[in-house]
Amino acid sequence: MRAAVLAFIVASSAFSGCSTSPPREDPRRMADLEQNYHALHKRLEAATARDPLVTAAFADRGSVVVAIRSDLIEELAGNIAKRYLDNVTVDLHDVHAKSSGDVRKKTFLGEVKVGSWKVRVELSGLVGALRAGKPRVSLRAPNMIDLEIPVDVLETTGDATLHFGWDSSGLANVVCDDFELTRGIHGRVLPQKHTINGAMRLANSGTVLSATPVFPDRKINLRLDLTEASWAVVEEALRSQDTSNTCGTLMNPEQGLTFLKALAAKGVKVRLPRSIFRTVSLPASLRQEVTVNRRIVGLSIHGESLRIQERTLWSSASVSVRTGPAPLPAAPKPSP
Amino acid sequence: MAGSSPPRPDANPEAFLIRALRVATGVLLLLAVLVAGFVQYRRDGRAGARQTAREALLSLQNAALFQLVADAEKGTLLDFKGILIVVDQSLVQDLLTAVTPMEAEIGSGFRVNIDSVEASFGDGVALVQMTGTASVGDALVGSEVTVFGSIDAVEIDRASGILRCNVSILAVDAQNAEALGRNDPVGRLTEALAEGGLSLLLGPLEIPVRLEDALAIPAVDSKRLQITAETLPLTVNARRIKVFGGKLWAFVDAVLPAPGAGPVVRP
Repeated sequence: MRAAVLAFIVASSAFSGCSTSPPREDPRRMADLEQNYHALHKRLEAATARDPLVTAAFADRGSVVVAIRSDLIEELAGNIAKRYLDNVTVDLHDVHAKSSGDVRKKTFLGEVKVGSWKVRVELSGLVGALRAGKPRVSLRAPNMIDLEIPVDVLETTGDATLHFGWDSSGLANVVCDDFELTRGIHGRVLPQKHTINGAMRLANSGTVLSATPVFPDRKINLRLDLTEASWAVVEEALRSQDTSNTCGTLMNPEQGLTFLKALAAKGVKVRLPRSIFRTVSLPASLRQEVTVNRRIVGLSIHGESLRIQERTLWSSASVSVRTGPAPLPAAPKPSP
Repeated sequence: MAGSSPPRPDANPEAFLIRALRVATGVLLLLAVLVAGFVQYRRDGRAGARQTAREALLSLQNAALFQLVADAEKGTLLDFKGILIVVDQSLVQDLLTAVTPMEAEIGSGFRVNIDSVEASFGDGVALVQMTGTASVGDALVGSEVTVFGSIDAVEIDRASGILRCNVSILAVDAQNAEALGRNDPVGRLTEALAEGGLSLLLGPLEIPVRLEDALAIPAVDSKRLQITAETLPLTVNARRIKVFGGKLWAFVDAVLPAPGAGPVVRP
């Protein structure tokens, strides 16, 4: 028994007596490592000084820089623009077209005005169906995305109302009555191609990178026509005024139809609503709080810059700790 | 002659027992000395092969710098395709300082207190150097320690989209290793930190950048047209990091679905 205890003590002291000596530095190896480190550092600094992307990144003052390649921006902007103009139906119920003109006749007194006409077409039941093609997108310094969106207007038909008025002038006014007629007609939007030009302005609020559409010219000249049956209705209506007292003869129904066809061919300017394009946030943003060490830290964020350079959108923000973290919750215990 | 011959057990059983015990004691002593010598030999061998924290860090920095130089000289240092997030070392230091002091039982009986943190992103390694004290159990005396950690990866939290750093342990330096016990205490402390202790001490480290996995296109509701809101799915993945110039550069791939690949989500 004494021998066993003695053996245990000897073994224990052998174990306990061998406390670890800390690792020792080899001065020659450290010198080699340091020399290598300085040489590599020098080469890296020289190479990065020649790299335009690194130079661009270092030009920003903020503590967080977000850089997005132009290819991705263009793809995103193209998709957004296409989404807004593709398979969209524009309600034209409050759109109207109008025109007016004078009718002159040669008389022994020379050419005199015998009357004037006016026409108004209300597209009460017509819609415009748009389909967007592949947009052309390009970045433009300092902060714009230029967009050129081909838009196909598809053929649609719907109800419209035609108002036609005749106002006799001069001598004709003595013998002829004025007239106004209103007819329900069936109109159609002709298939046609347009290009909508605009841009998206990029902005950096600090937390959000946004793209706001700028489309100053949202007008589309919509070419219209009437169905054959409706032209027949219009012609019939004009001819019905071709009596001695209403002086339709002076006005001439064929001439009235010509006016109306010219009006349809000229088209109707339809302005797309401003709201068709909305501001969109890009998919990278900064947060005003983060979790560190299981605690929430509030941050103050200030947008510093935004620019397009080297086919890249660069934005930066200064981030500083605003509020101290909440008290630490009970830390988890290590597993045994 | 008869006196020199070994006693037979049946001749004098008591004398035989005493002699057998002596032999056993001798064998046990010899075994104990051999074991002790072997342990000492193994320890010395291991200590000789182990690097100091400074040497380990410098070796790692050199390896990272070598790769960075190769990339930079080829012109592919910032060869990102989608999004690049650049985080200055000062921000990481401010965030960590805001939650300092840090304290945790990190496992293997060690308790670590950190009172200062320094982030340094200059040399290929996103070094997070934490200084404080380590102690064993309830001991009042411990050792001043420097824990060298590094941000070796970032990931995008799938739920929140927040960029999250993964911090790994590089090495530990202890001023007074003896105060942490015997039997390679610094090695055991390093092991405890590497095996979950650092995460107990430091917890998650988020960078205040959020990367969305979708692009929200707001609805349009005007008198002439109504367009429903749409969500354009976007696949974002943190691919890799590079560290130089006092900054951490996180490369994030962002890919839109191929045309016709799938329907656009309409909420």
